Amino acid sequence: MIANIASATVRGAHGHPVTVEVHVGAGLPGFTMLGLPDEACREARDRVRAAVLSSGFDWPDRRITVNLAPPHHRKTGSGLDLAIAIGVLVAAQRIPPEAVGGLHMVGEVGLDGALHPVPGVAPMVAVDRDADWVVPVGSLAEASAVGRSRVLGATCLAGVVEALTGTAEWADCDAGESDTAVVDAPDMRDVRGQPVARAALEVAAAGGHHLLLVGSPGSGKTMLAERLCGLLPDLTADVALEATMIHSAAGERLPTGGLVRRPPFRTPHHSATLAAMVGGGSHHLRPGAASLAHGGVLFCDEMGQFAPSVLDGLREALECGAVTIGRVEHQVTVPARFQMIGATNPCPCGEGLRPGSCICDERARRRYSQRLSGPLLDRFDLRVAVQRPDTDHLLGGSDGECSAVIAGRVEAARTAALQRAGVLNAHLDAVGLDRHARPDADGAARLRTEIDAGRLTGRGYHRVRRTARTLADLAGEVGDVIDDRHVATAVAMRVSMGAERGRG
Amino acid sequence: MSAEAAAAALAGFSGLAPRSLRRLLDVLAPSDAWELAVRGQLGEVVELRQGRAREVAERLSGVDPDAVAASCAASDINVLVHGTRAYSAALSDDPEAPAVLFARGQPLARIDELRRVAIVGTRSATAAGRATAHDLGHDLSANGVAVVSGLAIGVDGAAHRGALDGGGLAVAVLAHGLDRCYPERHRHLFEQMCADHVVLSEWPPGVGPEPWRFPLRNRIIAGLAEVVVVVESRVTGGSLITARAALDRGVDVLVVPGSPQMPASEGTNMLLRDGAGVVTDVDDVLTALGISHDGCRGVAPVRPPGPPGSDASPHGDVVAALADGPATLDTLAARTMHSVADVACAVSDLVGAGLVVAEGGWVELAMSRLSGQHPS
Repeated sequence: MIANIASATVRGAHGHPVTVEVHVGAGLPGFTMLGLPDEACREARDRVRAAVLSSGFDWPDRRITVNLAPPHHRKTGSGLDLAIAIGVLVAAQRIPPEAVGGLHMVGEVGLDGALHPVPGVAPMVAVDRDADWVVPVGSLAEASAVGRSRVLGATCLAGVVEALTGTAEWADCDAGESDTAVVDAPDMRDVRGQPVARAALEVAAAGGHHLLLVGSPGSGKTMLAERLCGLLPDLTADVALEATMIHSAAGERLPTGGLVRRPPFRTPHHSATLAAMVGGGSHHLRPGAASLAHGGVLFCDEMGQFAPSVLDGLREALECGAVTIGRVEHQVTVPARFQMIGATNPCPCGEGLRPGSCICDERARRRYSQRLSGPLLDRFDLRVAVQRPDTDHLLGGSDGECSAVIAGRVEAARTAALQRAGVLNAHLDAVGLDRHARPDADGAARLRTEIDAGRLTGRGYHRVRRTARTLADLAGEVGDVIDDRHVATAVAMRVSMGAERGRG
Repeated sequence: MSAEAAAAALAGFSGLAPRSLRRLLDVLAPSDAWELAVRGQLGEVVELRQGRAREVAERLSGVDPDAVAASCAASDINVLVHGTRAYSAALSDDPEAPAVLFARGQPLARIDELRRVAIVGTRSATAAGRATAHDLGHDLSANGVAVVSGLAIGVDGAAHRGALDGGGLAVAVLAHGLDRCYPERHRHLFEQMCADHVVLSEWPPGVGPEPWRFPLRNRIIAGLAEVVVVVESRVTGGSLITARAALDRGVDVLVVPGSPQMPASEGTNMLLRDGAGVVTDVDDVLTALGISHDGCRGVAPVRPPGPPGSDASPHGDVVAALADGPATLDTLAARTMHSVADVACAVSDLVGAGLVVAEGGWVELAMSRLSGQHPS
């Protein structure tokens, strides 16, 4: 007797359909699995047998052959357990074949017959969003966020069998539908003083600009970076779905409701490997920090301490909004369109920006600044020096403006930018800049002076105009001509760094 | 093998301390000293610790004095042995004068004809400090005073540039062989000085700029100078070593005062507290040299043609707020009570007018701290 159960595996952040074919027939009792299962997948053999027995069913003492079709690509993980178990029961005629017709199944079984969630249910369901899916109760939320048809939950193997044979109901997900309460997200209210850094954060949020914070230890770079997400609007439906798939594939905890609606915030440690940053692993190809930050913010603290190859690995993502991981057998592309915040000390002693304070010698400074490559530094529209706030501000000063108010302005500026050009200001191309970001006469003269004096490069010229465009949008000046004041502020928000920086 | 070749090889490769080398060459001709050193018999002439003579002999075993002389000649480097006529008379009386000097540029005798002032200070100087050093260097040089410094970035480089602009003689004392330039950023300045001015070192070609050589070099600057002016220095700065060496020699030390809030003024203010003289004007230095004041002041007091903008504009406020030292945009906005955008505009205008320098998020006055040259 043969049974076919539809299931799926995940690679990168994409699901791949797998049909579990189970043959139970004459021959010496045994269990063979075909179709390139990896180690975790091959172990399904023993998990499934124990689960079936624990659930009170007989194990067929015949020849069992399981084929995972298509057989030429490797299957990873334990998500096929449920399909194999049900397949065995169907082929052994414990369940009528018509009961499983049209159902897709995902889930890991425990030895006691319980169903456990597996990473990547969301992208697996996305393989066929219009089909009916059976998933562990723990994955019900994310599966429902993706699936357009029925998504059925179960807590144990016996429960699945009962529901299939009509003797019991499918289990419900008891969690509430949405979590509107954005709990204890860090608020801009806590940032005292530092008007320039605050403004830069607002501009970054409104224009989608990458932001580099340069400052001595203790100047509040991390504190500022953590607050960017709170200024960003909710993710659009498409991006939310992509982000959910990526989080699911990486086995990250998803918010109640299953859908990643708020922009994520990722802070890879500077010891991160290339695989941790852009994704990797031999078969599974787990998404890395860059992809997990999709739609949100990737914060690289102590950027100079990252391995240069890791930072260079980010350049592809910064350019195309996706990372491609290649292996001999296949390659996967995972979305990674994030906003980057870098934080770095200006030099080894940390005091390098304040005139007359640095104690580093010339070679140490050069070595330090060379850790950040020019092409990478160039991606940051905003490069802002952060100074320790005055003691007065820290101790006595009043709270700053709170995130909600700023987020309102940000939202309005983003809407204006999208209506005008269809993209955020950070993504304006040269043509768009010439059309929508024309400096007024004074501003043009100022930019010319800056370029002539060598303080602004050709690339910097475009970057500054993008920032100025956003500054104007935030001020409510949404016309195509930018006021000189915004040009000057944009120039001030682009501190010269590393190789460009000269002394003496 | 000439005497110069032997002296150059001994200076560069014997590993002898400058003081031991000087004692050796004071009693022996360089060629004889070389023969003795190669045979490991230096202990017979100068006092050395146990086994030191052997070590010196081993170090010198692979060295060919003629090759050293050839490499000097290849870089147009003159070798001057203490006690000979070619050696600087100004320096030769100094108790710690190097036994061998390497020189490029004009003949060393030119130094002896001129009055000499050293201008030293920190590498990580403020823009105002650099401007002060430049203007002092310029004015002294225009008054016919030779300006001595160390070619480091920051104050040293600015002083040299000022001296070059003033049309007088500039003297650089380096801590490495003269076949190379350190810091690389001063390559152009170095080449200019090798062509028309004087560049000195106590090390032959091939010797690199190891950190320990710099404090040693400072004694030569102090020895050459009749007055040492410290423009900016932190409390740990190398310029304080120069100042101390100057005091040991009875050379006047003058200091440009700075704001107590700036780390770059901590060392100089400490010197002031210890009794150093004050420089607020080039005349202060000329007086210390005993030169009459009617020498020309090269730079006419530059008064900027009024800060751009009207009375209501924040430009004047920004300049006033910077008088106490460098500030960030944040601080400027808070001090002047203007918006960040207005301050950014003002700063950008002032940078364009050359009145302030904005770098790394900090804004500072670009005007020297000498009197009569304040921007407002």
